[in-house]
Amino acid sequence: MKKKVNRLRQQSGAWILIAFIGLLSAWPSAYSNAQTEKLSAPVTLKAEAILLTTVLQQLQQQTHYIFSYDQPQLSAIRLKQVNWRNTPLGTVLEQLKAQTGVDYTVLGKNIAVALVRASSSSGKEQPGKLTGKITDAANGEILIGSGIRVGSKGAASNEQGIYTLELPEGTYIAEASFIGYKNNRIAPVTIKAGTTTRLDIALQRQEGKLQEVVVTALGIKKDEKSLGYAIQKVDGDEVSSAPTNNWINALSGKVAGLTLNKVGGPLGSSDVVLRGDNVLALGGSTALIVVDGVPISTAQSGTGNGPLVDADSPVDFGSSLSDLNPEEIESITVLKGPGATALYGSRASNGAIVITTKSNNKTKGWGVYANTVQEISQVNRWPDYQYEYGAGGGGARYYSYGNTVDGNSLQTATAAWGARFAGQSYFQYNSPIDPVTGQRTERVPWVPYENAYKGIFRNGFTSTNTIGVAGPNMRAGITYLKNNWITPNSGFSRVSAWLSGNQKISNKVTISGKLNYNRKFSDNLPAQGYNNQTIMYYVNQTAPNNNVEWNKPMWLPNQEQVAQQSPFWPGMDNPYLISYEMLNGTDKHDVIGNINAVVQLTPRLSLSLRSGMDLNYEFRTQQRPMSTYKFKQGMYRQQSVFRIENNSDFLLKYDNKLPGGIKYTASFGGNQRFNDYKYTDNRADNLVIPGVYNLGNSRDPVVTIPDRASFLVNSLYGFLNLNFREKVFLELTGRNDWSSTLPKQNQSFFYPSINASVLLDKLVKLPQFVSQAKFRASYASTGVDARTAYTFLENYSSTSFPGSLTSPGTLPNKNLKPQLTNAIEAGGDFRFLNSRLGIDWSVYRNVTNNQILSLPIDGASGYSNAMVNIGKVQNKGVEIMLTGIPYYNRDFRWNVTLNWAANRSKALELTTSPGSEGMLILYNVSWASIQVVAQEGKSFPQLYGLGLKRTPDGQVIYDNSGLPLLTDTLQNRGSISPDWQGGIKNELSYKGLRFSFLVDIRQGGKMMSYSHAIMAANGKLRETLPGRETGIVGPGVVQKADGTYVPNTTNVSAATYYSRYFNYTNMEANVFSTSFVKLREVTLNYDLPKKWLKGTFIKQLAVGVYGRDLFNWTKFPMYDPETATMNGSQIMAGIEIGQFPSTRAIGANLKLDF
Amino acid sequence: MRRIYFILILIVACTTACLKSLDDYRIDPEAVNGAQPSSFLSNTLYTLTTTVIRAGHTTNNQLMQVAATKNNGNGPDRYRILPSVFTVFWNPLYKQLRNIETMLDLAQKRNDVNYEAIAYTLKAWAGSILTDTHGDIPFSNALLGAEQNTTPVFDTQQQVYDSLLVYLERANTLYNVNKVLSGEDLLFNANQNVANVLKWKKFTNALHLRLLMRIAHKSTVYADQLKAMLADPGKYPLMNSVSDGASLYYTNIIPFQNPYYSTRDFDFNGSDNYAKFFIDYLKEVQDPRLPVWATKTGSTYSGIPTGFPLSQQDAISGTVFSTYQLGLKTSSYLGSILQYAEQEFLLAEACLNGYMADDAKKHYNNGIAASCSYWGVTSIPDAFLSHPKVAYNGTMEQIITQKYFALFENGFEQWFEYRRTGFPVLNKGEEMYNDGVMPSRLCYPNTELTFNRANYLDVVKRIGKDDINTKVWWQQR
Repeated sequence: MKKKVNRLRQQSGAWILIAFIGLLSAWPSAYSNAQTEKLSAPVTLKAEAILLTTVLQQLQQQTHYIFSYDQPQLSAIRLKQVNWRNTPLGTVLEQLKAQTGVDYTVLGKNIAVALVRASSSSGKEQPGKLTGKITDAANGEILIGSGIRVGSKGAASNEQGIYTLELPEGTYIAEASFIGYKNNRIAPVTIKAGTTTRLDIALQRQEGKLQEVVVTALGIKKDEKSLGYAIQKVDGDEVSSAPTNNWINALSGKVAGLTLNKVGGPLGSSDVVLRGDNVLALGGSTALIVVDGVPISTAQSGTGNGPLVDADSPVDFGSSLSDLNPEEIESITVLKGPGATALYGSRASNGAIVITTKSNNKTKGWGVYANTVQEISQVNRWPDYQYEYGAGGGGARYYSYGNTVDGNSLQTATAAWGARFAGQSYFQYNSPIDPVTGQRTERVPWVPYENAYKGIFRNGFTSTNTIGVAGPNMRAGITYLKNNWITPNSGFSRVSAWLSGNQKISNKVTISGKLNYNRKFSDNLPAQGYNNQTIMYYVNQTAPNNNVEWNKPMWLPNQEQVAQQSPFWPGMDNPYLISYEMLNGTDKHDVIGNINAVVQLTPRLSLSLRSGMDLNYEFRTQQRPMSTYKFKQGMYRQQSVFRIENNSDFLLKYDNKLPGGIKYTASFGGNQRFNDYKYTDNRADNLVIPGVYNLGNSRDPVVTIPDRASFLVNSLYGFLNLNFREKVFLELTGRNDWSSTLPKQNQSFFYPSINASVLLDKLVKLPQFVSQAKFRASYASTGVDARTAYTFLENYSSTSFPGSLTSPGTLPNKNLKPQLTNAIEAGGDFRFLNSRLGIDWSVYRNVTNNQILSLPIDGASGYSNAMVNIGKVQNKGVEIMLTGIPYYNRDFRWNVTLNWAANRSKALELTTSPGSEGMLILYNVSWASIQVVAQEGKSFPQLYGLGLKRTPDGQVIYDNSGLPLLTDTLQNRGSISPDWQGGIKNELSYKGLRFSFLVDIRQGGKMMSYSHAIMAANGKLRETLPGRETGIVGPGVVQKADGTYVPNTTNVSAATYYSRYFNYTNMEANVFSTSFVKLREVTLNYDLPKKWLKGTFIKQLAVGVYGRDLFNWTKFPMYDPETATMNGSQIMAGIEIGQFPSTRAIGANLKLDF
Repeated sequence: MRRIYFILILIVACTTACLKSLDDYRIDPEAVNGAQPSSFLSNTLYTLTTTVIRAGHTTNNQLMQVAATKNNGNGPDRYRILPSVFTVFWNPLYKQLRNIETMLDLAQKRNDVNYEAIAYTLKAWAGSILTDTHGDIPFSNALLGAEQNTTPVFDTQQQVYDSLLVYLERANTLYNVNKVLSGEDLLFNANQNVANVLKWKKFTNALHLRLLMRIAHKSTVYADQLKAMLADPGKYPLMNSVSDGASLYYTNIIPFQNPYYSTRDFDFNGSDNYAKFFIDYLKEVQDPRLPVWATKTGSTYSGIPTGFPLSQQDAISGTVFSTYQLGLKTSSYLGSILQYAEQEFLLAEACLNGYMADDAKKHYNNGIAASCSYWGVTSIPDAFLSHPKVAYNGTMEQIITQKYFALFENGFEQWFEYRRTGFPVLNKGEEMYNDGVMPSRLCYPNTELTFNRANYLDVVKRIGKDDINTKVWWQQR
């Protein structure tokens, strides 16, 4: 009997395999489809006195259903007569049932047929028992907690791996399942009343679960268990199912140890940091981004302006990274530390994000795929504005637009210390005007307008539509994205097209190639930061009684393009003028492509050749109309930015075995990296004719600011992989770089790495519930060349005066050495209960020495900065990833993934810099007394600023007029770095329905909010309401002339008090924790059952809705604690300067395959 | 098969850049080498002047009660000086001193005496502003970054002054007034007109006069030098007219623009309105320069009382005061280095104090006329000249007070002169910081403690305290 069953299983091996491949992708839906499918296949058979078994064999041939049955049981049954002509199978089976007393059970393409013993013969018939052991087919180990389902009943195996089920007599199909294993169906299973039937079931491991193949450095695919360093794989779905404008932001909360320093705005650029900042420069610790084996450019090339009232405002133009199309990302591997990235060399010392784009179909035919995503976004959190008092400088408890009988004009007041909204009326902007005198003639009600701050924002809208074809050797498609951002007239559109293909051109040679072309276009990307011409400047400066609609129309009557209407303080440019006339346009072409050839020279020796490039050209324009606050005569500037990054590689690989079963792979390769940058900025900063924006309309000679830089890095590397009987893995690597960014005598540098992985579960006998116990460890050293070219050359630079030169601000270093990062890492990947529970943990320590930095030095040396090799920074930390399946059954499944990471950075040595004395200033706004520094012995970066002056016992000291005094020197105001970050994702699926939500948490870390300083010091926030009517006596003391302290008793007006207390120079009042809990992502997807699509041209259809950044729980007073500031082309964390609000997005998508 | 290999190799080769060596990428394509001494004049002169003018506009004008801020009592007008103010000159002026050093070096190598003299003059000017602002500064040991000395020791102010006097003495002897400059000259146009080389020489000597006058009281050596200089106008020619004055006259064509040309109006005259002292004095004496400088409030002019009680903040915020004429922001006149008027007041003082045998009144009146002329006042009303406060009465106070108005928008010179002479007599507001005492210097930038700690600590030990009230050498009597 058992033998027979096994034979049947062997026969049906093919269908089991196919069925389970289906289950891998849509386990519940496949099952449910099978249950309810109509048995419509036609059957034609005419015979007399035919054996039932013969009939079943015929049915199997005609219908492609697989029939399983117990041959001896049915062998004696004969049918008198059958006569079917295109009769549906269902009818046939019903007839068989009626004629012979057999019953059948349909399970997918499998039909079990067995005799039904009439239960009518005995009313008190006992049920039978089915019991047995469920084991791993490979090693016979028991599988605790595995499930079995027979008919409508189910059970789970106990700690001995034994299951027991009671069943009425009959013939059944039994199905056993366990996480990480393929389901195994056994039929028929015959139960006899009152007896116990034994059925032991062995399950096959599911490939690709425990033995996951991952893409590592240089695009080499490896078995995950062989890796001696931490990686994390993220499916492409994670960045495309609830997409963000910059796809990388969708990784928030999903990768342990990943920090994204995000800039607001349509393109949402982020600085990608893994395992903490290890370079002592803001924005210097960016991870390397690799697409299909070829590094791409992450560089921002901003307009070079600061965020805080600079000549012009920075604009986020995005980068090749942000322009990638998430629809085409197959998977992402995050290589977290130098151990993983040693082979990438210099630029991957901060880790790497390796992206594999989708390639051609694995199935044979051609298919078309299409999807559409429509999304609406809105501001997700507002500061706590006050709407109780209107504009006024302080205590001026009236309002008057223009000088009137009520008093002097408060038209230009930007602070909100004025009159209370108490039902009274004043002469205001919207008062009736006498057409002759131009005077306002009537008082109108004094009321606040919520739209004063909020009205300039609108709902954003993003639409993404993709269509593509995929075939055996080719894939091509196009995506069109259109974004309207939340500020008026801003957003961008992007067309991405791709083509990939491969061709085996002989037995030994395979060629493949990929080409992505993106074109990004925008009429207006909003300017960032706190500056007259930014929207956020307006929002920070306006008052609650200033209806934003009063800024319409934006031009004064009959002075279109000549004079703006700026109804209140003229420093706030009209926000509609900012949106519709102060434009920042871009038109960017970006080609990312590669070509690959693999030549199998001998069965053991292969050669790969690859060349790839990221080439882009961008044309940008900025225009400012006449009468804008900073460009009275108008302005037009244009930049051409050309950038190419080219990488060519070869890699020779040799596989063989040593005696004793040790497999090895020896590889030797080389890379040449060429990078070229050409930039021209043409400026016409005064125009002649209003409203004409081109260089020809310049009043003065056009100023041209050129920049060019190119560099070349040649590398050779080798590595050796050893595999000791699939139990212990060892990898040794070495790489030597020759870089043109270093002086000739130091251009060459070598760095090695070693890593090992030990599968303890394979070496020793571990308890049954341990499915994998892997330990890993690595040591790596990475040399890094200078990030910019020419830093060792002493050159004069040109100035804006023709023929006039200036000496460099930065002292060049003729003996610049490469930076060196040494990293050790250890960790484990443990899986329990057949991988139902997994824990992956890493501990690491990275030390970066000899950092190549432009370090501020004493200006009296003749230079403000010096290129130096200084400093030693240590980052150590812990990363934990937990995966678990708390519950699952045939239809329902609940997955939980948790990641948690804590990093501690420490500046170990900064003293190697001449005179630096343990402090390194990374960002400095001297007039606002704001500094971001690295400080020896502390985590970095640290905030430095003034605070309240206090007595030795901590009481605040006030001056004689009752205002708090500030310290004389800058003091430490806390570390920017968070204590820890984590994310929890829950995924619930029921049949074709999948629901998931991700909660993202950050604890600790400080940020200075400049916007808060402005809003609070001007009385715009609710926290400035207490004491408005009574005045404020600050709690603390006053120092008398003899040095003693007496309590402060001076009452000062709220306006005076708060404007001192919250002034931006008092960093103490404007630094806040950046802790948050965010509901980052919620998705609900439904795969339509296949049967619904039957008879249509559609193969697969999925619909979904999603929400992103829905809620943001934090004590941070402004929009979002998770924000960074665009400072020229740097992204700077820790200080928020006129940040944009962040958005909540809700979207829907539809995916089709046909 | 072989063809395929060939194609492959070709594809790879074409997309690489291995046609060049690493060394080819060690040349900055945008760098300019082969500089001339003249290459360093225009930008240096412009940057130095505009840096000094800007700092004067924001800090000197408040300290010296030209202007006051309407806002929250945080400004230098109340003698509250934020650390950020300490950095106004340090890096920018040292950077330009580095350019001047390059000019000097190239001029000496090429034996170009006029550029050598100009370099010495500018070095003395920039150096004097740094030392008069901070006191002891790195000077003989400064600017040696390229020689790997990035932590220069501080010279005493006396040492600095001694060097400056040597430079000016040397510069005066170097000029070849028969040779035009080889490159653009924004100050005197001496590249177009050879006669104007003499203007450079006169500027050198007027600066020499300014510096000697500042320290003449410290030692008879300096007093004697001053006397000797004034006694020999043949050797030390001085300015004879307003047009000899050292001022940049901006064309306002990029890049030669008023430093405030492209900044916001607000940053020029937004919260900084004129102070009561400044306005009241000019109004009282019916000074014809007042309408050029200030806006009217209604029918008259009014200024903010310096150090007004903060309890009046609300009233002050709601009141309109005279502000800088917006025209100044784009005018050609905000580029004073050393005007003829200043020289005349120096001479008046020299006469008064016996360093020179001449008529103090003549120079005094010349000074007033020259300043009015500079600001475009063509006819000076008698009521003004004959006003008891203006008509020469032979006092130091009067000379320095009139000089104060002539030094309007001339960097920190008003403050330097006030610290030396105590004039003009300023109002003490009700609510001032620093016990109502005018700061005597600016502290060193707080980055000195970071970047040059040992030398900084040494100099602090020497001067006593790095404090705004520590008197610099020439203030110690």
